[in-house]
Amino acid sequence: MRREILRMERVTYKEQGITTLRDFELNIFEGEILGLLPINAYGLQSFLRILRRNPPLYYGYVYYMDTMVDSWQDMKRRNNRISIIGGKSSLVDGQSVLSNIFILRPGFRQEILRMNLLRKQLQPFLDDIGLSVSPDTPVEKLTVFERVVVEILRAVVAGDHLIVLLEISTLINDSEIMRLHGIMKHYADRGTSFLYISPHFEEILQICDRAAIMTNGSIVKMLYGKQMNTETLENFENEYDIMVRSRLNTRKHSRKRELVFEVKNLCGEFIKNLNFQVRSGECLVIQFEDNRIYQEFLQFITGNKSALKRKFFIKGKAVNPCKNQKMAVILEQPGHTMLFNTMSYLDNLCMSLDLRVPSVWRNRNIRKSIRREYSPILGEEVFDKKISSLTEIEKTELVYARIMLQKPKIVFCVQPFKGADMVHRMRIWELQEMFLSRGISVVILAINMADALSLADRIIRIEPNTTLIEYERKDFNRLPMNLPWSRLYKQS
Amino acid sequence: MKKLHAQMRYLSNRVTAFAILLFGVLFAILAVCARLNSLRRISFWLLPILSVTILMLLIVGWFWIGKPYEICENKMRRFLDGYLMLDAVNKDEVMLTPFTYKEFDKVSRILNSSQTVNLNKRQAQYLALQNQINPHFLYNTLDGIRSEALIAGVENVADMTEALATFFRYTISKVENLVTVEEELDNCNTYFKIQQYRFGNRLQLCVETDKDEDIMHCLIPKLTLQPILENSIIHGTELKIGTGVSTIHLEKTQSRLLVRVSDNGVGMDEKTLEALNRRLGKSGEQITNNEQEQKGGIALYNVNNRIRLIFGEEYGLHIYSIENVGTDVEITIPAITSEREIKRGT
Repeated sequence: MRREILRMERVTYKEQGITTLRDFELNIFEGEILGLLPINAYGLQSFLRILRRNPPLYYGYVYYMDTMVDSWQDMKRRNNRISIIGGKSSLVDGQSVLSNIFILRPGFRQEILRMNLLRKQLQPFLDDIGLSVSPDTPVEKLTVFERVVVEILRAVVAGDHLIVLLEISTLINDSEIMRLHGIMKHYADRGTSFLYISPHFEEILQICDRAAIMTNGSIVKMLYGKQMNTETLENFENEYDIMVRSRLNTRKHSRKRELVFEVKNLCGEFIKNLNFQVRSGECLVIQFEDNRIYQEFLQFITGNKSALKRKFFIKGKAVNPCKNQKMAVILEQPGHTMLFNTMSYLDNLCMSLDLRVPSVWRNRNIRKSIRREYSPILGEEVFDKKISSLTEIEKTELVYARIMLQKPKIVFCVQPFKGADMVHRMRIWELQEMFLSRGISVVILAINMADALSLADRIIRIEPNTTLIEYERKDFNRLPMNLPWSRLYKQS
Repeated sequence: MKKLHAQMRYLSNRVTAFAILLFGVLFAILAVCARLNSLRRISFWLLPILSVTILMLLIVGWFWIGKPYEICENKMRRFLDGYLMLDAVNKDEVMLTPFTYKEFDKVSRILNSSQTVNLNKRQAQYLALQNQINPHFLYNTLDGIRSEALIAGVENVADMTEALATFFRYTISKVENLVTVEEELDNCNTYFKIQQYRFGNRLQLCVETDKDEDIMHCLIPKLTLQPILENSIIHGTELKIGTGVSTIHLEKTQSRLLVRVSDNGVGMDEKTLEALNRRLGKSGEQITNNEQEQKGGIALYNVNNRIRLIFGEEYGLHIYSIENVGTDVEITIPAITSEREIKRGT
């Protein structure tokens, strides 16, 4: 007999009259690591909301530990003891690891805190999973990996039977993922269940025995045993696959292109003597093995941290990265981080044009002609929409179009595929391809390779000691097979 | 007092009672105000008392009328949307009026009647054979064919005939609503044996169970697995190029028996899958609307309706499928070994 931890039975859920989950069925057994592959993101947030809060359902039943916790007939709202770990920390800043794990957990009743005792109680948990973190470290000083593990530990100590991990691979690097998988297996053996949500099937295959495929707010298939291989889902990614393959066949790869961008001897707190070059129209993927180096590099190119002079060069001339219109940065989830809700669509589009065309804000005709020029690409109706009412894809298109108007020589895309479903990822891919076809170099900064491999001409892996390992396209078949899209290069 | 309590089950009576209470309170407030006016005094306590009284009236109104009305309306809306609500029709629940109560009670009795269950069971049996052939005549004839085949030395024909007779005996003559999982699996194996004479090695059946021995003694509605297996062969593996594998996987949890009939056949597109699952979810439409059943997909809907009528609306069938990968039909029923454990009597 297997114990069921979570069971969702024919759940239909509506938000503001729109059905976001339809006939949703899912069950998770004790000690199981179940993969969830959202082919599109539709309904995913509703699913997570149901897991957390048991909102009123339109129809269906939700059982947690074999007890009905939510149904269409029952309007009581109780929170489930389920932890959801994702990009945003749920730990309380300013408090130590110890406080977050023990003192702030629900059900902690001690009025006199015996910190030494709690420290002793925590130590076996840390030793168990080989995590060397001081219990008194403030949580904001933890690395992303440590933060994720501390959140898992807090859930385990609080007695949560189900832990949901949401797109964790976009936060931590490959070696940390392997460590995390070890920790998950360790707790799964002890009865804790995990729901591993990832848009990449290859990643799910590494850790899960069973996977649920979600599309348009329903689970369309559960995959077991022999079905747990990459060929099973070729159909779903067929369109994407064809698009990528056609590019692989048509794109010319030559190293004779002119040198556009150069980083020379860049040093910082964690970065030690970083050097690399980017050529015109080239797509370079930089994968960071150390999160701190990634964060520091990001600070350098966004101007949040200033480097010593003469570190960044465009066409041989030293530049300040944040003040040069020939260089652009597209941040993570640009739809949320790079748009201004109070401004109109057109104003958002023209924002970075004033360096090139200073009269853009005074001259209405310029803005009108921009609208005319970009309507075929972005659609006519979006210009009359409010920013807040745009879809995620429309927001992304707006940001990329803004950069296209800026006409930079090089664009840094920070984790461009993070949080995007397949249709969204395809559109991002197309937009980046558009940059490349216009001769603009694209540098993808990634913790995890995700879809970047399908676009890359060259990959640079930056090791924790800032050693660079470079892969040319011909060497891509040396990359680990479990990476998304690596199969393309094995075949070719 | 009991009679008054019973009368208050109806929202119509509650609204009347609440209106009387409201008028009473308003009258009292007006009387106090008039008295204070005549005495030319203004009490500072009047405003807070008035506010508290109105607040209390609102709370009473919400819990006594508003919330029960919302629940009642939700149920009616789901019912009209096609969802089956066997558990929702409860005598102790608040209803709009005595008339709506009578209506709901009648619908509930019709849905819960053994006639409905038996009607669905009969439909699950082969339509061609239904009430047309005397079963004993059929069995005797099949036995006769088997004897002749054995005498003629055609063992294949004899085995096939024996399997067919066994299959019909189970399908037509066994009258119970619930059988053990073991019996259902035997029937599936018999059916598969007959199909293998047609498809040969192109077809494979695999039965997977966990180590729990109890699972074979669990009760399951008769003719639950075979129609689904038949569907999986006809619509899934038969259309596939190469060997088709059908799998019956049985698993027991704390309270449920999960049976999964899978195939690695052609699968179905997302729209068909969505429509099928929607029809399975809204089984109220299936029970009351015979028109749709004639359009096809009888087996799945029948099995689903019988399960829900016997065990309740939280059980039944759900389909998972991806084109060119395969289809899984998951059957969920309570894990019981005796008919006495069924909450809903048939």
